[in-house]
Amino acid sequence: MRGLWLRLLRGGGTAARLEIALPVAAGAVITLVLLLLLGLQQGLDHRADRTAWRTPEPAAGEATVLQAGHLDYIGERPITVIELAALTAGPPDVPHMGDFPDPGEVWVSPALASLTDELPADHLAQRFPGEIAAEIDAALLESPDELFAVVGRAPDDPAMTAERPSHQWNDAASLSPVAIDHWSTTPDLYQTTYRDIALLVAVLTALPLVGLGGLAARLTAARRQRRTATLRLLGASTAQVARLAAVELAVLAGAGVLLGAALHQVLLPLATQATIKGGTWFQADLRPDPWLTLAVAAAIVAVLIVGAISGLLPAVRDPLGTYRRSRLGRTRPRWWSLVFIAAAVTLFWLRSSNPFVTIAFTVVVVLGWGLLAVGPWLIFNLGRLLARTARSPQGFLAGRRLSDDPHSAWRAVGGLALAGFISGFVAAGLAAGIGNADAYEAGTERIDAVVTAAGIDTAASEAATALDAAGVPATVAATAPPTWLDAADWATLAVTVDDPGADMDRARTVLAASGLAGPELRLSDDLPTMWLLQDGIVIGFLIMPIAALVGLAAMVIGAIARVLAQRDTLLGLHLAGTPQRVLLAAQRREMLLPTALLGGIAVAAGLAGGTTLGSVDLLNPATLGVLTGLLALAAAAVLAADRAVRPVLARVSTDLAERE
Amino acid sequence: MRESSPPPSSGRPQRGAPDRKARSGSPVLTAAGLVKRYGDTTVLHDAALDVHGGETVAVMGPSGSGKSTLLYCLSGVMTPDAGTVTYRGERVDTRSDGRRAELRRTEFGFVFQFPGLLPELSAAENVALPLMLAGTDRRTAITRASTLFPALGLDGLERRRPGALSGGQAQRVGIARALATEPAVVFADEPTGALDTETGDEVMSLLLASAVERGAALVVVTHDERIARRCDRTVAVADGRTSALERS
Repeated sequence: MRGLWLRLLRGGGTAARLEIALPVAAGAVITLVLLLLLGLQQGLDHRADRTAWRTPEPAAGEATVLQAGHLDYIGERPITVIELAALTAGPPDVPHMGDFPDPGEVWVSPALASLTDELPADHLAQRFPGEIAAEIDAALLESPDELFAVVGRAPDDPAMTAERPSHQWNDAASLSPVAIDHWSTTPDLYQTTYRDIALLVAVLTALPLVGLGGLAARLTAARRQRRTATLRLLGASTAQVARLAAVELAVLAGAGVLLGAALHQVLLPLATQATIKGGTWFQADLRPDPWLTLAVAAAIVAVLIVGAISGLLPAVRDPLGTYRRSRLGRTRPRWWSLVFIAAAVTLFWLRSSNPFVTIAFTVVVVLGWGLLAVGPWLIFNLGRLLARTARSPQGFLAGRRLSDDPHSAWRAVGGLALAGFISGFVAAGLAAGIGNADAYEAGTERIDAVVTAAGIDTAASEAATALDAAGVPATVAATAPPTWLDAADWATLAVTVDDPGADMDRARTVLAASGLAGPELRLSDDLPTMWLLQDGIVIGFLIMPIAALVGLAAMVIGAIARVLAQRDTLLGLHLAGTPQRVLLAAQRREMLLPTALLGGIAVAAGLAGGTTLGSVDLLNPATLGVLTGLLALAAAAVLAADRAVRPVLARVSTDLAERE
Repeated sequence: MRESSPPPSSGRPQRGAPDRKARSGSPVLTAAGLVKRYGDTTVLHDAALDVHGGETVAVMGPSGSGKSTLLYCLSGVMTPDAGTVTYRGERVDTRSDGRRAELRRTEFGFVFQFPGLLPELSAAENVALPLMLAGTDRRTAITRASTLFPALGLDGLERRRPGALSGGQAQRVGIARALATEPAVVFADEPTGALDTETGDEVMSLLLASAVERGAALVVVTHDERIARRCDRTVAVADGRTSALERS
């Protein structure tokens, strides 16, 4: 038996070369994408861990430090500022810094240090109450380009005694002074929400990857099944045929996994430059742990092997039936999938901190994975219906062949259906995000600093005077605070700068220097939403081409594989006098009808899933644009599959030498 | 019903005439009381058959009578729902799937209506396949397989792929594959059914000669009386029951 798999592959001609190439390519793509997704999860975990200390937890024992914080802005880039005051003579060192800032001392991140040097002092440097004394260690930064400052203050500094307005969910935007006795290790809600969204993205991305894996493992399932049946009839044991398939897949998928891991190494520096949540990445963040990488590689190979072997079970159990092709491809919904879906949803509900993301995740898992589970069953019933109601031979042939082998038909159209689901989700999600972007754009030329309602009149007057004295033309007004704050306690100092491009940051510096720099809570609310939208667009437009490519490849390769698998039937039909045009028309219907049915269901399910991210009118340019693109892709896939299948069908249905 | 029971009345083969070849000693393969059902349909009813070493037995009967099912029950490809199959005194039907596969690998050979050759392998490699499955290394297996080619009129075709062989050539490769492990019993399921008369005769002659030459018993399922006449004896299968057919 040794080397038989290699001989079988080498001897298989074009079909075997495809058999070799696809598991290798699938292994490579799946590994690359999974490592990138794992890297993203790990990176977000690391970011959350590195920044957890910035969100203070009140002291349970004797307080040693007073901690506060806020977000400042330079243009539309946030500067995270943590303010610390020692309550004891020997305060604990700031993590990874081996020191504690003295009053008036300022520590800055490397990116902030560069920016401070680059910009005029009245744009940035003058906002800080002291000299820059140290550069902050990378182990405390969210991202390499993060603008971050630690400011040392005295405990009786008014900034460390006054209550600050809090943001509805973005804790870092404005933290009132808190007496602490330890550095927090609990990440803030914003960080964990991003992590949950990344998991949602992973599930969305996994859908086309599952399609690709299935296609790779079972592309030539019919050929392999027939081979297995013959070997079994000749006396090969179950272990021998399983070993043959396992060794074959292990070597091919293993090669693919290695290729994917190598590609990941090459692409890693590029991936670190992708801006997510407003920042780039440290390479160590995105490089999964070596053991995890090994586990992923082993899991991919194992899944491909299990997929291939499960496809051989009928031939192992009933070699005679497979040999005679008496087995029908009848199928039932895979109810066991419900266990997987329920487990995934339960785990996410336990882990997630954001109800919106949790609901979106649940909808994606239930609808997306549900579609995977019932797809073949839907095709089986479509085929039965088509055969029963057919009035033409092509309709009858298409219907019978669909119901006879719904799994191979699903492999051909399933990829496109999943692309439809993802596109529907992204299309609706994008529209929800774009609605928020409009609100953001409307407020970018104004500084909205939240101050106490009691002090608003004084603040407005002092701000106008200070701005005038600094030569910054601006209009100052007192307005209501953000909706989540009580208007009895808080008000907004709205500063509209005449020339925001030149003077916005000067105005911020003037307000800070005058002690009027209340936190810009509106910007802290809108900007992350903008980032989320931008990240969503970036990720959406990364996932959609993957899904589209898999869908297109699945349709073309799946359609060819289906024709090759049915070569005896097609040859028989040809010998019985069936015209080529009837065979072609039947083939076309086998592609078009399931594509239309499953594609329609998938897009509707995707749109339903996407609307959980925000209520939208689906008749908007973004949604319609994505859906039009999807329709064009489906048409291209069907046309490409039709073109690719035509010569293959002509060959296998007429060439007697093609028989086995 | 045992094969010794009176056969259904038939115009052609007559009862009472002696077998062409005298059977001696205990049979190598014995089936008794075989019942096989597919859902509600009973395909074999109390079928029985004895096969002695080196004899050739034709199994005849109309389409759907159960003759192929009998063949597959005898060879351990299928397990009967009732009855026993014994090979050299050991039960076949109660063996595990793995041990039945081992029997097919080492003691039995198969020739199918369609050769069932793997298109990825050359003719010689196809013949060598059962040897490789039995543990022989590839090189030795191919060398041994190639020695069968001249006797079967396949000289020079060792490297050809199945797609480049004629129907008759492919079936002869199938015969060579069945004989490669020097089996004690060769089972043939309508081996000439897909061939024209002339090629079929030629293939059948080779199958009979090769089996006899190697001392293997041959059980051949056929519709063709001419083939049956060339066998030592004929067993009729009708409605799932076996009966010995005697020759005129």
